[in-house]
Amino acid sequence: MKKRTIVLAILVLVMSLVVTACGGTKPEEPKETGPWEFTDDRRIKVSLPKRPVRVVAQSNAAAALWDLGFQVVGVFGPQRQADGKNDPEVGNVDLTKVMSVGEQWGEIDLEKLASLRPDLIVSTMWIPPQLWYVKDDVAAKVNTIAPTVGISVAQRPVSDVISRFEELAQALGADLKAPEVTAARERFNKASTDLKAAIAEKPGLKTMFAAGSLETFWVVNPPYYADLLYFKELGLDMVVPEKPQQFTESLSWEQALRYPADLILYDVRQHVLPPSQLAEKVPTWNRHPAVKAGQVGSWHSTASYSYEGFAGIMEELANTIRNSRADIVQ
Amino acid sequence: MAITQSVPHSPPTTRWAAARFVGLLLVAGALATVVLMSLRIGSIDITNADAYNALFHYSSDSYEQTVVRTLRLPRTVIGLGVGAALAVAGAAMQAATRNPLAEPSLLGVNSGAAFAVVTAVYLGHLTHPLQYVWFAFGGALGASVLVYVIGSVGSGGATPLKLALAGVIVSAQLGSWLTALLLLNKQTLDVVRFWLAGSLAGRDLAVFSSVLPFLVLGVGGMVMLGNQLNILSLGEDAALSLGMRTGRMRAMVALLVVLMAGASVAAAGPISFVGLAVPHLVRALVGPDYRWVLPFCVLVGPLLLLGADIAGRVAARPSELQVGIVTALVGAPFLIALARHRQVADL
Repeated sequence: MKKRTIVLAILVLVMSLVVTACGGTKPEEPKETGPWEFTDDRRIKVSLPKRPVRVVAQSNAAAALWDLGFQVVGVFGPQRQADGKNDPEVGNVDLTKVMSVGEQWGEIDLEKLASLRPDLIVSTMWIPPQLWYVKDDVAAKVNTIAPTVGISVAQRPVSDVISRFEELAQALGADLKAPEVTAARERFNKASTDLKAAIAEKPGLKTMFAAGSLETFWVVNPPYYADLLYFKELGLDMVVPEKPQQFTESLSWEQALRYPADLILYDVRQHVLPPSQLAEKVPTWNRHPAVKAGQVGSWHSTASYSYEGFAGIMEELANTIRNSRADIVQ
Repeated sequence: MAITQSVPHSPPTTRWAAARFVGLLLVAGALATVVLMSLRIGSIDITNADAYNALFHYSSDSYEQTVVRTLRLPRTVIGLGVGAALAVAGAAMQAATRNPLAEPSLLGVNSGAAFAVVTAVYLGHLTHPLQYVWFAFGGALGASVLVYVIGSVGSGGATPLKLALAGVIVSAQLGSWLTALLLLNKQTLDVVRFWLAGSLAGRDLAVFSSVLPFLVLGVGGMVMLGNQLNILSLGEDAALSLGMRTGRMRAMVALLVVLMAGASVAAAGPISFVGLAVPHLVRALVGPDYRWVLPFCVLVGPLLLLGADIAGRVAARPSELQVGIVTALVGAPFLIALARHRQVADL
């Protein structure tokens, strides 16, 4: 009898230790708020008894919220590059403070996701209503873990996308008047004005946004991309492919000269074949007027949807444009 | 089994031989036409003059000539070699294993090559095809030796059925390791993604040149073994009773197949259906005598492969379809028709 009591006591002690250990990392929750509502870009209204605190987001969305002062607890999507730096898509998110629930497209570790006990899951949308990185077969399961919010990042200018993320961040309790946020907004406005000026300095400059592989030359279709739509608002003249399959038109390399341009802005994502490789292996690439003239700049195709991140992109583009000639093609 | 025709001791009539020889010339003519079409037809329109000049008076100032010379010529040359190698390898495997569905991938060649390339890229951080092409070869060889060893264990030695089963097992095993490696490391996938899709476009002529000697050795050696294949295709007992050392002959065939399939998979990536369909087509044309089947395969293989490549270039203008997709699209209904209309076992 006595022995059993001791065993029981030890068990209780161990159990309580385990419980405390598990709960030990629990952050200080902010004070209780009332019911919370947010209508996303699929027109889905999320209603929760109180404001979400623990949010898991796709890298792009996490980066946008982070710069607006809201820190997520988990991310899915691109995170670290081979060199250990943050992938541009995940922006300034401190990866030591968040848990990864998957990096590849379509990869979400549902157990890890559930273990984070998220109140809300946020992703971007390129082709609504599909959430980016959330494949259809796991979407239902993800929804049972927490309600989802989708923010459209295609077919509207980046300024609109950022505004939507501001609305979401504000609803999540972020302070949009914080000094860093205000400073970033000012940098964005300044960069916009400066990019507009740079474009105006080069009348007749024809640009083409593109990417390539050994087999295919992709010409980007501007109306689908938030960054390109915003550049258009600022006056940039871009090639619009004639027969795009939504986001791009795929060309055989025989068709490399189909669209003349003074300046090619080339996709700099890590898995895209870089221009140096094209120059070596695809002779017709070298025949494009812009390439011949050495006018190939960078296109950050998974643009940042934050003031801070996109300001950097615009500053770089303004610089590229100022260093380009506008008279390569008519 | 139409044994009477395939036994070497009952030589075909002279007339039948003459007809087949004329047939061979006709197919050669058709292949020459397709080669010219392959230089002439593509995503953009090019005049005869430019196509001709690109070959004989090349001027790199002309964009059209650049297209012919740097894009169409390499894929045509590679298509010729790879088409011949795949078809001959397929025919040899179907005869040696007496399995109508045999093709190079059955010996684990494709999965062996793919696995070795991915491993080399993953561990050695190789980025250039010229660096990893040899791993494709080594992997193809290693996997087929493994298949052969597994297939030889137990009584009866390397029977066709055991070889086929061993091939399936090794392929499945290598395939799952390959998937695991690719999932572990995204950079590896980025380097090899293009290679893993069978295509003639964007392939490096230097890679093809480096494996060409093996390809020629494999095709040439196999074509000279037509008579031996006839005997092997009669089955183990008949071949033994005719005095053939079947184990040794199968090993020889397997080695030549590895040379051919390894070279083609290194040059163009895995391309399906050519190795499977062309031998059936050829046997339907000329009968089951491998002294004729193999030379016909040398011509019909590239004929079909280049034909599919040309179709892929014009089907989706201004883009292109990969030749592997076209051969699969055309090959599937072809095989269904074949299975319905002919005795497939008629090897």
